[in-house]
Amino acid sequence: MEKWLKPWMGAILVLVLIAAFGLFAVGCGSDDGDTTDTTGTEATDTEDTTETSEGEAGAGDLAEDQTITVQIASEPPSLDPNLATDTTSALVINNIFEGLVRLDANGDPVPGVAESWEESEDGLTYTFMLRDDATWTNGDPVTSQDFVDSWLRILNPETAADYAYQLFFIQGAEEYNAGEGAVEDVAIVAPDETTLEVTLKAPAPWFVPLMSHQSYFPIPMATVEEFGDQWTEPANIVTNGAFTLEEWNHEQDISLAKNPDWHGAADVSLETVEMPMIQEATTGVAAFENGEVDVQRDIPVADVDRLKDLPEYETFPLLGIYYYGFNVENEALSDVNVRKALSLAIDRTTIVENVSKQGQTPATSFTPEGMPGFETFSGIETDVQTTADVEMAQQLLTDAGFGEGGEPLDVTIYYNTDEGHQAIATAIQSMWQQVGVNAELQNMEWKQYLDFVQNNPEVQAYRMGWVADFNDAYNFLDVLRGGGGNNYTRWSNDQYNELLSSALEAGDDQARYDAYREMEQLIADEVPVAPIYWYTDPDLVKPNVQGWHPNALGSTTNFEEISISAE
Amino acid sequence: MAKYIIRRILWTIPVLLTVVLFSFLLMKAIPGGPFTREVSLPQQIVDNLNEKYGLDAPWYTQYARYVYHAVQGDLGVSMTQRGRTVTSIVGNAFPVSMQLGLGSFALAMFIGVPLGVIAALRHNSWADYVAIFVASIGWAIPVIIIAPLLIYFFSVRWNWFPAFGWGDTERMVLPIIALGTGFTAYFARLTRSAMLETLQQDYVRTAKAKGLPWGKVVWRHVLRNSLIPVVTQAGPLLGFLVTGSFLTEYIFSIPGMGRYFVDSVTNRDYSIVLGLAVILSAVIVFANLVVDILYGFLDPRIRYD
Repeated sequence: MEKWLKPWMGAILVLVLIAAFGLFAVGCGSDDGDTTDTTGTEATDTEDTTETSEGEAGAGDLAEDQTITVQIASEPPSLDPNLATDTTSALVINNIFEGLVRLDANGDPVPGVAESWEESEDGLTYTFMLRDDATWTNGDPVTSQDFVDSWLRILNPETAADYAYQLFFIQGAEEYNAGEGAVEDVAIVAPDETTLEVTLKAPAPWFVPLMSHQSYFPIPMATVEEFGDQWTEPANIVTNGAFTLEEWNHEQDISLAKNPDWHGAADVSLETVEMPMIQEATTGVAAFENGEVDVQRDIPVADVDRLKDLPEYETFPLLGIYYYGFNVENEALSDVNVRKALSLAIDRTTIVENVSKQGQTPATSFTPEGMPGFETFSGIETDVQTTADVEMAQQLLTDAGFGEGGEPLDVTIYYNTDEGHQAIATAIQSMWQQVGVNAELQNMEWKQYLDFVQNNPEVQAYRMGWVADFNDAYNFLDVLRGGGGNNYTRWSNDQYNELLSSALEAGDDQARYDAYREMEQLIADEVPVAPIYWYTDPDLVKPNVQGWHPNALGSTTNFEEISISAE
Repeated sequence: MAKYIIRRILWTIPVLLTVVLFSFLLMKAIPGGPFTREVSLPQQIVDNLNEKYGLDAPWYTQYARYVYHAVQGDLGVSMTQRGRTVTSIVGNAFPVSMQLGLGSFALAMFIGVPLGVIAALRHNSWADYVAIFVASIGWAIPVIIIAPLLIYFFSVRWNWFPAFGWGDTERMVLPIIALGTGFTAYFARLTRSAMLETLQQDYVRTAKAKGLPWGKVVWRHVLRNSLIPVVTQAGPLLGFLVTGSFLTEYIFSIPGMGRYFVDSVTNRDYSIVLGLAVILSAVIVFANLVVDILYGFLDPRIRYD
């Protein structure tokens, strides 16, 4: 009889062993300490001196429960302002930290930790005057030294921060980061606790708005030194923004709470922000539809047709461009007429309305609509319209010796593997076929694609996108600088490169915009790129959420301006 | 027996070393690295990053360094999630995947096996047809279809369960059903066919002939004997289930291991890729060992010397 028991014993053995292995794994994880307590706040300074505009939230009755649930796509790779590089991290960081300035809904700088600022005559020295009621959540005042500490830390080669290059405008910064210059030569000074002086190596008219970028945020150096890599955990972190980091369950959710000691706290309605990480956009839309999520930030293209007429579907401008680059050193594409023909053959309106479908704007220039000075540089002379000009494209190709009676033209379109990019590439393929161009599609996995486009001379036409880091057209035009790190077209135009440096010396804004206009004209004439569309940022927002305004850089939404109205 | 187990465990050492070496070389062979960014970084910043993560050394030094730290239990730090160690990432994700896997496994055992038993005992009756019809459908529909359907009906339409996440019991229901359905169906079919075969055996007829009550015959002779193939299948399945299931975890946004199998390679996060390789091979080697030991229990003819 005994032998009959053995299979059962075996099954139990399996379960016991697996359970033991499981306990071991749980044990491994426990050192991570997902404690929910945040550091106690002792500050008492709540004097109301805020400049934040409350916008539309004013009159309506507020709901009792001021909690919002905002979907984020993934675990933020870092909540350290010096190390974060992605938009998910930026959304959290921008709401728990505060920089010298903040951006309002139009993208214009408004005072943050700095009350006011001055620019020297030559545009090289900036002096920021800090408010004296800004505090960290541990009660310490936010001083100019906190900014100096942060900036020197991000530039320190040992920190190995991606975004160190955001500070390369500062004198001595690039050399220090390269390990060639001394830290003393980085031109950042804090003469007293509330004054900060920075000297740039060349004028950068966007330097003040750039202060709203997380790489320029202050950090609590003592906390960073005490906890090392773990300083951004909720139990350790010390912040200075409108919200505090209450919980961070890695890969699962983040929750923020209103910071009652923030200098503008009197005008903040929202008490709690829950941010569940939902990677799959379709699932996120389902969670929005059943009421688990108040704001769904990722919307799958397949669902757009069904959702776009709902009042909850809101589209916000985003300063970004989706474009096709041409490798001008490639034999087939070295002729400007060929590149121009390819650009003219693209029907941008069709792509936006029938393929990408998210309310994007067909693009006729490289710098997107909404950029300061756009009225000036949108006035360039170009044959590229929002719809295709098949006849002119065919004519240009014939002139170049291709098409009817000439040689066949074969062009390969490269893109990274993604449904959306594939749909657009397929549309462009058929548009090019209409003018007699034989287009082939070639997709690659993302990093392999980047490596290929950046380094392989065989690349022909490739898709790429660019979203602004700061709201100045320089940010876009610099992409096409000859020999620049992001210029995969291999196009280099001396006049363009000169304009790029001289634009910054121009003095006033209008003169700079005029220079930008000349550069846009050169892009239109030489066609190193074919602009396709300017991005938008569509979100699903519950009707009782007031004041949801993602900024045009796509980096953040100011939670302190949001309130939940009673329904 | 003890000698056999020790020998097998010692064998895992070269296996793991080879797995790490191959994963390492394969990783290096793919174009693009952890710091290949959309916005291309100035060379000096890439240099700083490479130095910080030890990627500036030749590959054999990196490999030796990795093994040296790994044997001390240090699997390194992530190259994408700054400041997080591989052990802490896996330590968070593995228990989640294991809960999901064990839940689906339990579903397969406690629903699938009885379903198969009933179907076999009522062979060619309506109960058999229904059970086998349901099982065929369950086995045929992939997770990628079941999961969105579950979300649509049980979450969006009827609002009975949350659409995503993990932790509370109510969040676990849909994912466990989504992942477990296929295996439930599989075990129902497996149990049914094993039972039908056993029912034909001479010893069953003998037991019946000597006047044993039918219930006792089924319980003592048919069932226990039929479960041998089920148990041998269950071992490797468990090993497979607890290490994470990409689709289920992805669709329900479950913070388990599944996503790292894809994300870590996409991000070229070498430390996580290697960490996963080590853990996955350890689990598989372990599961195979358990199964091999189980054979000894199940089949007395097998001896380990």
